[in-house]
Amino acid sequence: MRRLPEREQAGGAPPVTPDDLMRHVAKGDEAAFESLYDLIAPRVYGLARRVLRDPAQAEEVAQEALLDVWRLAARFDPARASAISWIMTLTHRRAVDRVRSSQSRAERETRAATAAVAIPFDDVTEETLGRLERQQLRRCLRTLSELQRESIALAFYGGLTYPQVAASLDIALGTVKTRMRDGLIRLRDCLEVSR
Amino acid sequence: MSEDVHVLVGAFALGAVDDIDRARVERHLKRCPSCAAEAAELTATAARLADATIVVPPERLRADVMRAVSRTRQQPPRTRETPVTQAPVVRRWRARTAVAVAAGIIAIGTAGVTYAVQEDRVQDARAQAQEQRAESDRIAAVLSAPDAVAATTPAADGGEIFVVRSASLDAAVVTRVGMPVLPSDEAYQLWLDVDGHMTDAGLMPEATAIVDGLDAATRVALSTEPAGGSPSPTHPVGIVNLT
Repeated sequence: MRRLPEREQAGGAPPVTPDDLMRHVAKGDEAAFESLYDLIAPRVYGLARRVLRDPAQAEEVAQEALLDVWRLAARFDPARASAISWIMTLTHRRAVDRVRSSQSRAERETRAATAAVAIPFDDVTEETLGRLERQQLRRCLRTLSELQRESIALAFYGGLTYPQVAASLDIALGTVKTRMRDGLIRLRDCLEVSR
Repeated sequence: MSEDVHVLVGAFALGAVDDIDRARVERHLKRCPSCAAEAAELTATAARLADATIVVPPERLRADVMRAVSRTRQQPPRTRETPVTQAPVVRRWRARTAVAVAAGIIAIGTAGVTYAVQEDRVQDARAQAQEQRAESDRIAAVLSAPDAVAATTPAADGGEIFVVRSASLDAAVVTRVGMPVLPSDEAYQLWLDVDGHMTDAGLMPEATAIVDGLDAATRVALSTEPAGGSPSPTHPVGIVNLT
C-alpha cells in the first residue's frame, strides 16, 4: 500500500513518506515523529472520530494510537505492511477496543441496531486531504454488492463484531463472514493493494 | 488452515473479531504463509477505508501527543525468537514502599481482570474468583510485606509482566497485564531460573499468580505452551530478574 503523502511537496525535493519517517522514528527520533504526525494525524483522528462518534473520546483514542506509533515503532516491520496500513490498523484496534470496553451489552446492541450503513464520505471536512485516494475508494466501493458493502462498513466504521453485523443486517453468521472476505478481496483487486 | 478459520480472515482484517477469534486466526496464520499473505493484503485493504474519514484534528492534539512522546520510552523490537537463556528483557528492580506496591498491583490486577472477563466469560470469572480467594490472602501478604519490591518487563506478544517479590516470605506475585487471551489449547506457564536451568513453576491460568520457594532462583520467566504445560519453555514471552 504505497501511496503519496497527503501534502504535495513544492519544488523538486523528493516527497517524504510515512515509511521513510518510520525508520527514523524507530530509532527514537522525535523530530521525525513530529513530521510523521503531520502526515498521519488527520487519518488517525478522523478514523477514531468516525468509530467513536464522540469528539472528546476520539481525541483521547487518537492520542493513545499516536503514542502507540511512537512506543511500538521498533516493532513495525516494513516487509509486512506499509507504515500507513500499520498505523491505521493500530488506530482502528484502539478505537474498537474503546467502543467494546466502554459500552454495556445493551448499548452495544442499540449501536448495532442503529449503526449507520452509509459510507461516510460526507464527514470529510478538509477537501484537499487524500482526495485522489478518496475518489478511488468511492469508485471501488461501488463495485461491491450491497451486502458486501454494508457488512464491511458496519464492521470498520461502526466498530461492530461480525456477530453484531449479522444481527444488525439480520443475516446468517456464515454469510457475514463470507461477504466480508469476498468484499475485501474485490476491494483489494480494485484498489490494487499489494500489502 | 481449516475452512472455518480461513473464512474469518475478512472479519479479522476488519477488526470485527473478539479476542478469542483473533487468537485463533493468528495461530493459523503462523502455520500458513499464503493465508498470512492474504490476511496482510486484506488488512491493508481495510486500512484504506480510513481514506473516507479524514478529519483535521484539534490543534492541541499535536502538543499533547508530542509532550507524551517526550516522556514515553519506546519498546524494544520483538524478541519472539529469542531463546529463554538470552532474552534481553530485563528491568531494574524498583524499590517502593509496601503501600505503593500494593496500590500498584491492585490497580493493575483490576485491569487484568477486566480484560479476562470481557464478553461471555463473566461466569467463568466468578468461579475463578472464588478459587482465587483462598490464594488472595497469601498474595496480600507478599504485597504488604515490608521488604516487597516490584519489577516489570514488556511481554513479547504485547502487554507487561509485573512481579512483586518478598525475600522474607520467599515468594513472588506475578501479574499479566494486557497480555493476549490464549486459545483453549494453549496456556501460560511460569518458570524459575535456578542455576541456569528453567524449572517449572506451574501454569498461570489467572492474571495473577503466586510463586513460592524462590530460594536460589535468579529469574522468573513466563511462556506460552500447549495446554497442560511443557517440561521446558518453548515460547518465552518475558523474563524478570529476581536479584
